Amino acid sequence: MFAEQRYRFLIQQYKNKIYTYSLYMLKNRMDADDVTQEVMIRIWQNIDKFNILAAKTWIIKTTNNLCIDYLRRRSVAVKREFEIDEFFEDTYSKNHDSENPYLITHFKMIALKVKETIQRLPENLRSVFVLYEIEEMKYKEISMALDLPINSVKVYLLRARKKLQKELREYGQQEIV
Amino acid sequence: MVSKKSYELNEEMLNKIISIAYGDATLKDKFIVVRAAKQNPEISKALNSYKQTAKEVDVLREEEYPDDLLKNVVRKNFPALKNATSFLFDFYSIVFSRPIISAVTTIILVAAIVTTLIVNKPVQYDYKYSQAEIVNADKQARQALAIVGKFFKQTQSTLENEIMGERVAKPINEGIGIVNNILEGEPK
Repeated sequence: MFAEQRYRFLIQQYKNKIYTYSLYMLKNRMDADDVTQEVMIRIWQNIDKFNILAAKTWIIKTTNNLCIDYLRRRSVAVKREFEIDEFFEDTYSKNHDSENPYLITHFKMIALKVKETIQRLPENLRSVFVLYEIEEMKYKEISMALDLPINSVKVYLLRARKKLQKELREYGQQEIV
Repeated sequence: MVSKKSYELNEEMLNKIISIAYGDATLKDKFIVVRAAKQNPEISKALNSYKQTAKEVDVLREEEYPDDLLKNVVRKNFPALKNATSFLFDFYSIVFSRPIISAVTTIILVAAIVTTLIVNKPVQYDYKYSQAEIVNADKQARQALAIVGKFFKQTQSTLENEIMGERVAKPINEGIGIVNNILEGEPK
């Protein structure tokens, strides 16, 4: 009952989360599109099976599994080079509303630089970092979605933050030079 | 007394600094790090550096899934979905995307129903009458019945003596006499 409404609600609610996660994990817009579409189909196929209030974990878990499949397939096939920035839209915080073109460009550059650095993180650290910092999921949700103990989630997050810090500062120093 | 060691930038302190920078540290850790940062410029520098990174990460938002792609996916895979009723979708969205609002509304409604039921509950008397009161009430009821009985008696005698005799029986008798006269003929 209400399958269509449930489906439409879930898609509206999670389409950006699925897409963002896929984009960060796969570093490729076309693959991210494919994964998002595949997840949407799987949601429809399982619409009567899962609890709508617990759907988030299921959806992220499915997205993560599909991303891993894509990454495995890709590593077997031709190894792609990093294709990073061109795949991101200009999505940065609206807190930086400014009419100053210099500031706008500056904030875009920062966002781009951070995204690029996140994408360079190792896969396990990247997934936890994206889910926690960008998708704003809780430790418990991430633990369930990625099948990891909560302590591992915390450790991965800490490592990701340290690595990101290191990479960003190195990037900053290169820019200054 | 706080030892000098607690102001060193070691691994433990660095973890606390990172937690503070990203906004998920405990109050105790905040206190320790802020105090250490005042004593050790190296800690202060690391804290500022991590805060800067956290700020840069914080500007990132979810990527928007393009609407045209979504339309394509729906058209290709779920053509029936285009005709979904919008009211039900809106209802679903309100209930599940704002569970707190829905819960509060439900609580208010239930409270209103319960209050109404309590306020309109029929009054129940549990008062126990004493023997004297019962006797008194019985006496009063007998008196009231006696008064009513007296009225009935008076009405009965009036009916029998005055109304039935004079006003009913007499005209009927006269009427019957007239009819008899007509039927038997006038006495010659």
